Amino acid sequence: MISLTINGQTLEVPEGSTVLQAVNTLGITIPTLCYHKDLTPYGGCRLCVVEVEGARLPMTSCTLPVSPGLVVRTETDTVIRYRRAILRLLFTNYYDAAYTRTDGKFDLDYESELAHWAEVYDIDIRSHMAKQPRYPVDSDPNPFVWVDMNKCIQCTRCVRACAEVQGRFVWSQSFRGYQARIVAGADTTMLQARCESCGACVAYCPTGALNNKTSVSAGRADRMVQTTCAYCGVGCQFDLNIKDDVPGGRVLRVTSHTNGGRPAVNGMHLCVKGRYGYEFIHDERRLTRPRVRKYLLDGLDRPKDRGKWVDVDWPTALDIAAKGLLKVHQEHGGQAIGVLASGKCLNEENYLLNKLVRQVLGSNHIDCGSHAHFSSVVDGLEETVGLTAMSNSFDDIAQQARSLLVIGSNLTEQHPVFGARLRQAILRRKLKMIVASPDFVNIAEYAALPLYHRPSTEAALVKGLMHIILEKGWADENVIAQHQLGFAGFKAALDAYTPARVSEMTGLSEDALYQAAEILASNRPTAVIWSVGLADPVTGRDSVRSLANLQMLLGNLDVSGGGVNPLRSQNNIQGACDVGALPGMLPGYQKVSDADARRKFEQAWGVSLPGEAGLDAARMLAAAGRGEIKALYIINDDIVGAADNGIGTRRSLEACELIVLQEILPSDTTRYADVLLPGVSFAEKSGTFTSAERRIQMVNQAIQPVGQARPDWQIVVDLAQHILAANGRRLEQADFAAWNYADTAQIMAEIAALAPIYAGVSHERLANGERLQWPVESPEHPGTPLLHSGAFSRGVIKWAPVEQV
Amino acid sequence: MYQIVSAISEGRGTPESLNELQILGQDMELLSNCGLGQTASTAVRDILKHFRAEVEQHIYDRICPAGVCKIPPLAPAELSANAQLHEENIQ
Repeated sequence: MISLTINGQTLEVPEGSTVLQAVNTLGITIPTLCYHKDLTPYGGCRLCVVEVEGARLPMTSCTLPVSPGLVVRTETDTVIRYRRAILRLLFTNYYDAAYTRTDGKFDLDYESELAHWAEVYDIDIRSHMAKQPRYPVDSDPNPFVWVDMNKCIQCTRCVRACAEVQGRFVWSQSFRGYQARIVAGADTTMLQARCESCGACVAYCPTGALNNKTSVSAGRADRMVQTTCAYCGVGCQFDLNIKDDVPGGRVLRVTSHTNGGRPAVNGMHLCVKGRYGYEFIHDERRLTRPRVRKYLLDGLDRPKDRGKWVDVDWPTALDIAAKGLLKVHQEHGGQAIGVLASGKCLNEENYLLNKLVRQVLGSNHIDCGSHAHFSSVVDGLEETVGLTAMSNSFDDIAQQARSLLVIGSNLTEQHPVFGARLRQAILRRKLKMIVASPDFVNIAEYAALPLYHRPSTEAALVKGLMHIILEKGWADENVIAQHQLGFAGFKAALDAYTPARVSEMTGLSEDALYQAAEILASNRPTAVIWSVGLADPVTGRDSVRSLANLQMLLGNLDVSGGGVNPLRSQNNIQGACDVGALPGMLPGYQKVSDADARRKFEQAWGVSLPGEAGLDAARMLAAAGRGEIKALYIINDDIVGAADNGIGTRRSLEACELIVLQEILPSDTTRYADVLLPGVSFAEKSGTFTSAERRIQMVNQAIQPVGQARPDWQIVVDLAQHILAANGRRLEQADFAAWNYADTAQIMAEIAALAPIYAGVSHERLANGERLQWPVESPEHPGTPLLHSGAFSRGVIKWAPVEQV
Repeated sequence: MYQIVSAISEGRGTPESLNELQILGQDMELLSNCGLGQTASTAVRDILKHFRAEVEQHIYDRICPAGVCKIPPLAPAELSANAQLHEENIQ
């Protein structure tokens, strides 16, 4: 600790901190423009100057390290005069047409730190700014970033943000003297300079020189609502900017969440999807009224093309849906109804769907819609480590891993914020990355060793690596000693995967295989990361099992910076699985075949539950094609559009007697629906999402539902009540038998009571900013960032059988 | 600074310009990051130190004694008004 004096106050700060950081701990504000806490200090704008006793010149506090006995004054008359001089100088090359308006309104419609400090230091921007612009406004064709270099003060925050946050190095400084300016690439357009349009430069720009093109003239927001992004499994936090000029409010734009200082997974970073992909919320094609096919209203038989849509009110639509489902139930039993839950919906909604299927319909035919195609990404994990989730956290991998094996994942496009984070880890910590993929993926640019193998040979590749590791004696002896059970068979099975044979299968050279094995063996811990690239219906499961085996072999499974890390595709597919939207699992991964688990839910819901696992999504669709499943209830999933087997899926849906679809936008699947219930987007409801790293995060309602659309959980509740009423069925008295919920917090309380891994989760804790990663065993439990810590000693992890190909 | 000096050489200088140049020069020396910035204003400040009269002639009399700057001539009435201003400033 170093002791120094600031404005007469003596304080102690850690060695290596800057004067600015020390000053901030006292709650004193120093004006800054080029400084940002996320970026390397630059000292270019000079606005943060302070007087330092004994120094010849005023010093910039953002770059001055503390030293013992330093005497600093931050607010003397001289310092203030300096800051005003600096601001005046900055404005000589600044031009904003907003200040030339003749109507006397000079309120900027964007956030500008520069304008803020000008106001604080009483600088009249109009009289000090340049007399005419030097650059064209909106000078770059990038579809998302709006560039006006007239407002640039060359603080280089955009340059540093692009380099230090996104790792893309688009912006740089160029030219000299009066001509000096910020350019993209070699003074070309941003996209030519390989911009990924993440908007980090916009988020960090303090003057409005870089702005969001999609909302540049939309004006300022009336309020901000922090929420969780609904695109991928990273679970970024951001602020929805809301304008209340229409009833219910509307979303103006998305901005990085800056205040509050809660540790979010993404900091201020977002990707192009999260920052700019919000326009669907107010898309004019949004489904705003419930619809049913005309034949249902008329009581006729279904025409081949299902006939015309008719807009109806909610009671009619729910009644038709409930009676239709009930009819199938009465004629063919609960086994003839399938429910496809959604990885895009809230945990609470998926829980209700699971309750609807198991309690009201009496079957286990529930699965996530996307599992029709991608379930093998995690299935293999269940057989080895037991839990189908990322074992480590994003920050743990970025901070602790010494090498990475990225396989079957286009990381920087599928999970861009995590991809960018790993780029930084590679740049700063020099960790070694192996990227295995059939074709070039962007992250391979950063790879120490890219492996371009033949498609669907991932499993063979990993087995080949294990063979080499055993051959060279690089395996973790402790793990093998503790885990003799099944090891001999495992080892023998690998004998067939000699480097020569694997080389032949994968198309990689033997040399590359040895190199890869050596990188993994000599840079432990290794984090293995994969994504939907491994979702091969034939080899996917085997690939995932092999990766788990590899991590065991290297001793990386239960350590910080290691682990098995499937990056889930949809934002809440993890949460949907957690809360029971799986054919074989009750909420909290309690098997339906487990009589004790079943008894718990039977008592809670007041019904008896079937002990046989239901059909998964792919089998459900196949069964529908065969006419065994008569009705489908699909929530928020375009299973036709997402299908790699489009024709098969279409045929299955065509064969269904009744399809109730809950959606927000028309899709390829809506064509096959009989009843269409308009749900809402993530901006219109409150609840929780669970990100790929098992982190449960709040989704906060920002605007009222569009049109007559209703939050999905309310629709599910109403549908359940309609089915029960139409059946004249009365549920037995039990703690959680009823279907009356005031809000999603109440549903989460029910989940917490029934699913041990969510036992300590509540909306209240999440709203307080707690970082909760399941298992959260009690209201006091802090969550579990590292899933399998100590798992080996408990002996719960086992060697998976090695399939011979 | 460049803008002010350009204005003076084109005959658009004002009596306040000189003071402004002086202050700007000092601030630049104190607040610049490196030696180049700290000394960038030296030329202008030295002109003011050694040749202030000539610069003032640019402003008040609208002539360039060295014959380098091209200044449009001023009407006699404005000239005499400037002369009076100069007197006041000196006093």
